[in-house]
Amino acid sequence: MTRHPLAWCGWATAALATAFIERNPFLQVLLLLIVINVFIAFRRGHRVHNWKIGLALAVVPIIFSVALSRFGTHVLFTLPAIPIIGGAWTLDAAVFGASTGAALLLTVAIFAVVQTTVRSADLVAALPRPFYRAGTTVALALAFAPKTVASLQSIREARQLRGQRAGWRSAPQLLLPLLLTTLERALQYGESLDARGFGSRRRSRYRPLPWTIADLAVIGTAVMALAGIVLTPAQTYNPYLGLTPSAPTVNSLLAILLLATPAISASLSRMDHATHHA
Amino acid sequence: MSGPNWSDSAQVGNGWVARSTGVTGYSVRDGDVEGWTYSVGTGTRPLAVTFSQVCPGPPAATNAPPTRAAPPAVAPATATPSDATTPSDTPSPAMLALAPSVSPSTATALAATGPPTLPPAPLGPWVLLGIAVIALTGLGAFNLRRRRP
Repeated sequence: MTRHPLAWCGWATAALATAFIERNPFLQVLLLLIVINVFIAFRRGHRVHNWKIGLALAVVPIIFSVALSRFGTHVLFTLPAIPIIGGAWTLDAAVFGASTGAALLLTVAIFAVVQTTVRSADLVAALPRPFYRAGTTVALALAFAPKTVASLQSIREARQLRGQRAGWRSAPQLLLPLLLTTLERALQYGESLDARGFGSRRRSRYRPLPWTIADLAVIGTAVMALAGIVLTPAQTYNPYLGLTPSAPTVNSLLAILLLATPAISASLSRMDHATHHA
Repeated sequence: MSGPNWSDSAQVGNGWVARSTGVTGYSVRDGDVEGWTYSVGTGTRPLAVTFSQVCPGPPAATNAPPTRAAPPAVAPATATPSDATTPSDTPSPAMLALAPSVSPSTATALAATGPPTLPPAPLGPWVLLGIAVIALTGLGAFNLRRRRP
């Protein structure tokens, strides 16, 4: 299984470059399929938390584009002369918004995969020595926000169990216990960092991550895919010029297909496991 | 406030729609009507004209120039003569733009704007795309069905 954070960073860089550069709808669908496949192979019981954000990011550009753009020749309907929204609403504008929304959805999906596959501890451990302290602090600070949300939920649940009302009006009463819990956690973090000798001695490594064949395969194919995407001419798609997208080139298809390496290697290692256990 | 400028519109079934691209961004097909207006601010739409008004049918005499059925000029009230840099003896810019381009005959002008013949698209990318989609769907189903390690 691919686990090294640098391998995942390489994969994410190549995937994000593809999502930003390629606007051909066929290639976008193929990339989305690949990203979903990689997520399925590595989900390990994770659930998709931010699919609503991704969906909103995909839909909002369509609404904005179709409501505000007056260009295009495929007219859906014409509104009377109301400021801002009056005029001809065109299919071209809707398709342009959908194309932009697909790129945003892909971005969110790629980051969701990275969030699932990369542990922040691994990432901090992979940092070069000068960045180690800053990296640890940032990782702790980033972990603080979801922990605060979780403790807010647990305080609310405790109040509900005691029969107290849980609405917007009870927010001030939640604030004090939340503040106390957060301060207590901060003190705990400080003590545990102190107990581990943070900042006082040279850093030691606990179970360093070796580069496996799967890691090397992922980062190698990611570099190849990135080179292929950057070097081949981008497949532009402008619905205002023509609604029908052009056929994708074989080179772009092959470069994007290289990004499926993590999913394929994960499936292969599972098959290997299955034969060993049989 | 920007000065007077040209706006390009394409005629669709029920009126004019502004072109978002320059003249190089689209190709004109048989029967299309393009309207140009010269006005201040966002483009004023040209007046309603039909294709037959601008381009009447081919005349009997093949070498006769096309009759210019004077279309309703879309001369904008805002384009003052002081703004115009063209000499005053030329026709109004809007008038000139709405009139068909001068060509030996209407027939040749229309033939030149016919859709270009496209070479047949190669099948390779589509086959590759189809195989990739099927393989990825299969891989996803395989990973979904498998128990988590």
